[in-house]
Amino acid sequence: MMKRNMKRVVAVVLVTAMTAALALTGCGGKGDKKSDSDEKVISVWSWDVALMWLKEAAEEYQKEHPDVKFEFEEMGTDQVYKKLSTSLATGNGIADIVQIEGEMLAGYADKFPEGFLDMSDVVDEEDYLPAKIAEVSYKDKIHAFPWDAGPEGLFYRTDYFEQAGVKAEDIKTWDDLIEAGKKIEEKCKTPSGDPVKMIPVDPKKSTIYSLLRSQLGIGVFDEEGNPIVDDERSVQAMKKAKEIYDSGITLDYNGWDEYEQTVVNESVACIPEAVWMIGTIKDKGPQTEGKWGVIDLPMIEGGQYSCSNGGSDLTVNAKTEYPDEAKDFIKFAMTNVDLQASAFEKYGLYPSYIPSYENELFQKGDAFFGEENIYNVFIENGKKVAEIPISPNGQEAGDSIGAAVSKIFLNGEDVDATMKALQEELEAKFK
Amino acid sequence: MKKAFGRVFGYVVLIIAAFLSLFPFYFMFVSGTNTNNQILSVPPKLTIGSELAANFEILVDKVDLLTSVWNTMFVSVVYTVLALLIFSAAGYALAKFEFKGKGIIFMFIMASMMIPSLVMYVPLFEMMIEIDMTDSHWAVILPLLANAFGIFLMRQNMLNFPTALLEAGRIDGIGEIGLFFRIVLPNIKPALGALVIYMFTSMWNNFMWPLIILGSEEKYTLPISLAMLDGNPTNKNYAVILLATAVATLPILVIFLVFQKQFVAGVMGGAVKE
Amino acid sequence: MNKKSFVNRKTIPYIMIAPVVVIFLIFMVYPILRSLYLSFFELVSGSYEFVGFKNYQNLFKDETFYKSLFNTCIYLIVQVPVMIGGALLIAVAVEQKFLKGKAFFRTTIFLPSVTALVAYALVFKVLLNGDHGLINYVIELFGGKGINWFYGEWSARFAIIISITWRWLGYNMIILHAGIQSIPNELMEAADIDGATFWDKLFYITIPMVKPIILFCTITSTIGTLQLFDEPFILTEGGPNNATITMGQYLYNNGFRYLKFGYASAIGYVMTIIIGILSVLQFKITKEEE
Repeated sequence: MMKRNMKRVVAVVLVTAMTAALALTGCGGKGDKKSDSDEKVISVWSWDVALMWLKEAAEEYQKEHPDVKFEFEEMGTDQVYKKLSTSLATGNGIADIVQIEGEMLAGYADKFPEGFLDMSDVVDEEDYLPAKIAEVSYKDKIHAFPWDAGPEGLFYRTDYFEQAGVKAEDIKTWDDLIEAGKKIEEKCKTPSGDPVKMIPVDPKKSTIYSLLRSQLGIGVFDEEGNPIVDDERSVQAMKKAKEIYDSGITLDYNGWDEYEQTVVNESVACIPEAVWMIGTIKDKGPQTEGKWGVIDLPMIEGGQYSCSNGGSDLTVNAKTEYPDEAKDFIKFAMTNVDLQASAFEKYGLYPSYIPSYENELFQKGDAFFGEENIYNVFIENGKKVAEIPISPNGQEAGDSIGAAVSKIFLNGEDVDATMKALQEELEAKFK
Repeated sequence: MKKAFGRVFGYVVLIIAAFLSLFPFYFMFVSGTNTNNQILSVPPKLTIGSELAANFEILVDKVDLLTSVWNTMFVSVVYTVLALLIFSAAGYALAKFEFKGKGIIFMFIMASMMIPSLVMYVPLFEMMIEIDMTDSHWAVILPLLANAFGIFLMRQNMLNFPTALLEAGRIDGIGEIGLFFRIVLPNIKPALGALVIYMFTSMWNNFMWPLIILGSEEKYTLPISLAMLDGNPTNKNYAVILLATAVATLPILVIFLVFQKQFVAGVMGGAVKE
Repeated sequence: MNKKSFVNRKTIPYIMIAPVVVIFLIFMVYPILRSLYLSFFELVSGSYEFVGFKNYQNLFKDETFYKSLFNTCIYLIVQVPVMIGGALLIAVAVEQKFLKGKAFFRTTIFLPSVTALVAYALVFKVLLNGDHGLINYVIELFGGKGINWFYGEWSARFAIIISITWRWLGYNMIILHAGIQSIPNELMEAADIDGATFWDKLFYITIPMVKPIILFCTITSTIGTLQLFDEPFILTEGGPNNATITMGQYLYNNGFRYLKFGYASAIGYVMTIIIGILSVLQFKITKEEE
């Protein structure tokens, strides 16, 4: 009895070892296939719709360059960053072309200045939204090719506005928004019977403060990288943010899933968000078709700039075997007006390449959002975004600001004192 | 009267606990049959819907489910088998023999339990690049074999193994290696069962290390493929994500149900004989 | 032909332990030393620069680190005892003679520890939702006032505590239950004859008998709590105002988000020392009691 058991154990071990050995040799063989032929294979990491569009662009590209092949891999944002963090130092195990969110770029550009290829030779700065050029430039090098942009507008529910007797064109300042919000909460009910709130706010994040601060044209850091959160404009932005939050017109949300819920449940009348929100609204709120409009964001006193949120760029791994081909492909995809227009039409990727806006698509608008052409709002606002210098410490500073926002919004702490403390904290961290 | 109250109370506590424990699973499986919006509405839809096929189609379209199930199965099985072999051997040596350096080795293994694994990923990754082993399943498996808990579990279970049985075997002329395979292993099955569950689940669910080390899609394990579905920062399809999660969880449930008796007894062995 | 004499009673322990030793040397000792080395460096413009003890000095001035230490302690002081206590109670309940469906209860209550994170996160956000969450509904049913779980520092901490307890209680329960099962039946029967109540039996028989297992659960839970990462990461992202951030998450942020590997390594070493001290303490305390 025992003997038979023994045999079985040995058999299992042997079989496993053999499978293992097979797999091992299998692994070894694969990596070398690139050099076998004359084919140039460019690997690309991207995610979701951006990936789908890149595939289409690659097909177009291959019509003229049949010798270039592409290997696309879907990598979520989280995975891309974990991989870059561990491997950018060596460039090993990273695709030739990697998509990266604009706000994340500076950190990598600073820690790994040689990690990505310089794009200065293929990017004509005049042709792109200035804010995007500011985003990809760090220490006299263009680390990435500017791709989609996220100019913001105020999405609003025309039906709620009408019910409450509020006119969209009357909302010029944040104070107007607060007034209107109070009326709407009084008059309107969501489908499940709750009062409708004006805008969603995450009281643990810097989002609303950053938006107001950008309207005043400054960032968290100045050009030399010194923190300037105690600047009077920054303090003014935080005070306004607190005023909005304290007025009671906001709906708290915690994380992205709850943010999307505000569309599904129709629980807010407005969403101040970037152009890509069009996709989310259509997807999550199909029942709200024809009930949305878009206007400029309300303006803070003394503010003159627009804001943007999100958008990605394309980087080329400095260790790539085919630097010229990779750059050439990106330039082809990014400066082809028809491709850019279809990227926006099909996938909501809003181009930062200015000549794209001439395409007729941008003159049409989107039927989901009614008669008026909502794209005009974004095109105009995209040009008015301040060129705020990027900082490699943006992530860490953002977390600290989020904590400060919690203190001010949730614990009711004093704005001036908190901002002063925040300034000291950031100075201590980044000097 | 008092007794009856106690019974009712006992049942109530257990039923509530069981309900709360099962609810998320129910939510997970049911959500896979609903649309994204039904999951996100307030309150979410909690009955079985008709979207299973549609969600499944999106899922297999987005990730190569079969490949990643196979990959995960492969790394988990190989890892578990290797762990069974070398951990039980090590546990046997630590529990039943006196040899030079035993104290130090055991102390070090125990102490290593306290080191957060996050710290080690960067050096490990550098090492894998050095020896050119990135993007292989072996690079996933081997470093994770430095697992103190498994060794500790085996040692504790072998402490009480009757020495007389070993001596009897030796008198019968069984060699030392035969002793281990023919006398020791068959007699500590519960402990091995515990190790199987522990090792298998820890590898099956492992995310961070495989993510760092694996570079190509055809090598991905399930948690990475799941994360891929979750990757879009602005537009998530929770129905598909939860369906995928349900698919990934099923094998673990099966493994647990099969091995649970041994698991309990084995962990017990580890716990009691300190 | 020397083979037989090579494997003998003297050499066999070395042969048996060799694979583990080799694996630990390569995949544990080396990375540990390497990251200790890295903790005296920082990544500047693509290469590591020696900074001496600066990372450690900064760490001792870092408020967020202290806050993460504080939060971790709260989880430790509140959550571990509550969870072990709850696990013990349920284990005892499952072992009651009158109970039908033992296996069912045992299995279902264990299940949460195998849930995937996404499901776990979504479910708990739904359950803890301030306006429409099931948990607030129950609170209001009993005349209480609903809580905005994720927006207060303490309520967010408790939301995390509730979640961890849910996930790990069953795991500990099943271990404790196995211990309870091994208590000789005669002991309980004798107690019944003496007219002992449920609580008498719990405090004078069950708990003393399963004490080593309680210790085992406490130590593993302590180590787990000190390395806690997933729950705050997905449920609260460490907020509000860093009220729920843990040391593990802060390490992660520094290493993988702020790209400060040297600093992250330093945090790792300080964590290791703290975990080490606590484990030794727990062992010592229970040894003394015995």
